[in-house]
Amino acid sequence: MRTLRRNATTTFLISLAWSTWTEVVQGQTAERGQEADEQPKAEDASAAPASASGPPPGFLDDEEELEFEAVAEVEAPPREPTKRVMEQEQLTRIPGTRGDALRAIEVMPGVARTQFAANDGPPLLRGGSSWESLVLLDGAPVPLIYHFGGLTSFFNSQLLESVEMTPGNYSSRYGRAAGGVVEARVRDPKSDGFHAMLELSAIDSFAIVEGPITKKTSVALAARRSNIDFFFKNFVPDDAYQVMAAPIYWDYQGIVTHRFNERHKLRTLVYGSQDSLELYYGDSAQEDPALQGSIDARLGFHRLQLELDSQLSDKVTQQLMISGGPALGDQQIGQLRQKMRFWDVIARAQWGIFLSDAVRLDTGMDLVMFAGKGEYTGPAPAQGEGNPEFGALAGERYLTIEETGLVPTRPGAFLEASLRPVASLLLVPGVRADYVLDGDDWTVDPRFAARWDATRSTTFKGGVGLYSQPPEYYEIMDDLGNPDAKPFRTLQTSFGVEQKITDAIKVDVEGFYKRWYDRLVDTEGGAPPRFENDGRGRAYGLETLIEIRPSAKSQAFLAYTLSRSERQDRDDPWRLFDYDQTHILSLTGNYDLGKGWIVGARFRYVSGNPTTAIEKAVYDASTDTYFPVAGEVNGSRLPAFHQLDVRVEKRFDIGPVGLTTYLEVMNVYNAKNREGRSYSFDYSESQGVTGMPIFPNLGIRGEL
Amino acid sequence: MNFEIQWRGVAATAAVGLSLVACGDPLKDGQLLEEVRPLGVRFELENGLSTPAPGESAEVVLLFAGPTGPVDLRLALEICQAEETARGTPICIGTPWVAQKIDVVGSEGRASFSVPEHIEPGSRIGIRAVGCETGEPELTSDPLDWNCGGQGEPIEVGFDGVVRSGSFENQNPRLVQSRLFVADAEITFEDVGVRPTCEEGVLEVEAGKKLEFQLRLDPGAREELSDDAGEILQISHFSTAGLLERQFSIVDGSEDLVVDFTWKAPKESGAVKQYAVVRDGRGGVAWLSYSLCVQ
Repeated sequence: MRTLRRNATTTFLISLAWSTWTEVVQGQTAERGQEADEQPKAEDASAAPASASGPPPGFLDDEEELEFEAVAEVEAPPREPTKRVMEQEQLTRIPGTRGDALRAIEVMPGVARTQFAANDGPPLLRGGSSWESLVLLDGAPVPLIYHFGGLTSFFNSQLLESVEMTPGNYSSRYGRAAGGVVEARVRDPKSDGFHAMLELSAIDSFAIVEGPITKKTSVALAARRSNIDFFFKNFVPDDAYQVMAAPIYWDYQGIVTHRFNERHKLRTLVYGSQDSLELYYGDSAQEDPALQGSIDARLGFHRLQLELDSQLSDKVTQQLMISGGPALGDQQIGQLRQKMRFWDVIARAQWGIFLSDAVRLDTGMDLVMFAGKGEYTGPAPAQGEGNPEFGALAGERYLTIEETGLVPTRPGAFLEASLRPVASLLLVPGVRADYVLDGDDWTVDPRFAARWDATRSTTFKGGVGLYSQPPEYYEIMDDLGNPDAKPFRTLQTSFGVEQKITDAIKVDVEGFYKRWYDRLVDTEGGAPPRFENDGRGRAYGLETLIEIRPSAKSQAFLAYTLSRSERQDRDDPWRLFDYDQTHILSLTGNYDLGKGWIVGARFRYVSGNPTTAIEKAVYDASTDTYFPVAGEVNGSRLPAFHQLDVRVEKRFDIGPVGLTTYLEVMNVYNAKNREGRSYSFDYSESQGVTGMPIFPNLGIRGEL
Repeated sequence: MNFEIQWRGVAATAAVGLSLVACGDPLKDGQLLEEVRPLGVRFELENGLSTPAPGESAEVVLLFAGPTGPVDLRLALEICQAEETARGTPICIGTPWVAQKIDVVGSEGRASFSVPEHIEPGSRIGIRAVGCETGEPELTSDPLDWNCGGQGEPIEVGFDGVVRSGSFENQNPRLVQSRLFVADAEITFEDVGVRPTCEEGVLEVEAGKKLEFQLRLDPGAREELSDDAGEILQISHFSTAGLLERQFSIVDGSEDLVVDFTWKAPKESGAVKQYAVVRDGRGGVAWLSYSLCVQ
């Protein structure tokens, strides 16, 4: 029986017209952190003006008398075929992720495994490269996602409401990414009193304070710093490593939410991050004279982000967002040098227009740009994937770009309709246009998605669309790249079914096919113009997710992806994608034992990455290094990866203070997973390189 | 948009330091001459330059050495205008200016060539060579196919030079007045073709002992590029036995022309030959060699 509170806000009723009714839970609102009278985000697919006068005609008939006080909790109905949403409480308890929300999406199907601390970019989705995924923080692309090496994401997970991952066929609202979208949504500061949190762990420590400062305004402040350098400097013997890396990172977040009235909410975010990497070389790197002397890298940014959500009328919602701030990027290795100083600006405006109970339009525009100066001395950039072992950095010819002004500017606009010819069918046609000002290129991408609720427990879904991605700014710069390089695009298709077995068990199976056109690939030897739109690609696969949630704090996921991803560069034969992983199996579970104990485990089994054999090497007399000569690119495969991570958490309540201690152990049985090969100076000898050994992380968190 | 251009070196080194663990025995050491290897290539012009101009003649000199020092080889060689590639072995544009086979006698092989008049100043000169201790060397367009006629392992070499232009010319490092000291003793340099011996005049060192060397480079080893900085020199160290502290030393453009390094003598007695190859990073190359006697 549906039990709704008529006066809570009719937003939910309108939502129901657009969504699959999922759950009606009495009295759970506070526990899930959502106030009963809080309007859902206008960006949610089905959100409608809160002052709308009632449900769409015909959706709830007169017989459904709404007479009980209750709270409705409704999943935002996706306009994409598949959008996987994980809420904060789930995200921070996934074993093996150190409680990091963005890392947690790796337990979902369609996400390729990357080795620990070796991918600081976005996740690899559906056979695509990292740089083809778009990561957003409340709608704004972020300049850096993870602290060095991907240890921890730049934004404190405790301040996130949810993370949404769309592995493919994403909405026309976003663009400039040929793959998928990951969107982290920031939560509002708590308004029921002052709270504080302090967490100490071996890797980093953070503090959060939050609470209301007026009746309509609440604030949260957070700061974090890494501890790794402290342990390295004080406990690791100087001669323990030939090369020792001591990453230092810090980040901060400030959130101010102010509700002017029921129709307007302003949220101000201030956040920033800085990473410094010091490499100490006891001696020179034996195989590469370029890796000698001090090596420094410093990357950082500061952002101010303003978000205004408004209901302009009963039928029109508006979201405005502007985000910007300074960023810096310095890297130096001996003679190699890279220095960037710039401001980036991201602006976004979108409107939702509810024309009738069966037609909704979303339209808007956005802009991504940065303006600044950069200088560069180093090797010519190369295509980021499909390059086997290059050899020593010293063996590459360096380019020098004197201080140059840069203003890459990319505006875009979209129009998307959500049509419900019948209550059970949602059709979402859309189109997006993007302009690359610095490359003078237009792209127009039509997209279409559909969801059909065949029964209350069975939904069929599918999508097809084009997704264009402009070159990186340096790929179209004179000297560094090819000014004539064009955006590349993918054609994405998917079809699947969601089946609800019980209230606690859901199964989702989806197949996909993806095709790349005009990929930017290297010229032979990287000769000018260095890049050409002369690459193709294809990927296809099947994703399965079985989700079991017996209670709020207990959950289990079985995610399995069967896929193949291939590329063709120039007229070369088709080859495997660098991260083609035939089988990706992830079993993840948390169980609430009661009395404050929560235990969890994650097991992963993933096919080994493709690898390229080095056939021989040619001595480079210019630098006294060797050029490796590769055999068939990605012609063989590393052994399969498998790893078990566990997490045990115990919470004590001491008066108003909640004290949580946790122990997370990654790679519990110390599997020696092969991640690559290490070569002698002339490539005549090699040996396997294994990934992260057993790695415990102990932490304690206090909450007030 | 990514605002940083990824350098594999940084990521790879960080990954090595943080999480990756190599397994197995140590890989072979680049400073130790365990088999016949090329050590350097340079262009020689009468005026000490390393940059021939269009229409000018020059010699290319290739240095090889092995576990006992000097070596004899048969060498196939091509010299051509090369494409402006960013990495990898030189790729010839059109027909090579020189395609010949020469003999390497006593470590050095030499071939003469002229830069064609029509070549644009600033163009790249490519050297492709394959050497064979036994068998007849054969070069093809694909380095994967370079061979010794089925006899023995080919020793493959690539080198880049630059055609002199109005804005770019370069000298080979001058090493004539360089000096090498071990403790209080000074070591005398010798021709690379001289076999190491324990004859009179060769410094005797104790087997297994670690020695501190100081190489004082000729002031002419480095050209000045600006008022306060000169070329950055890369010195490659090689030894037929024992353990040098490192394979590479770097002398920054503003540093003193002094290189300190250590060498641990082998436990076995015998003559040892060592080499120091100096590169200026702009196509200039020169080398030194000397002998030591381990007792």
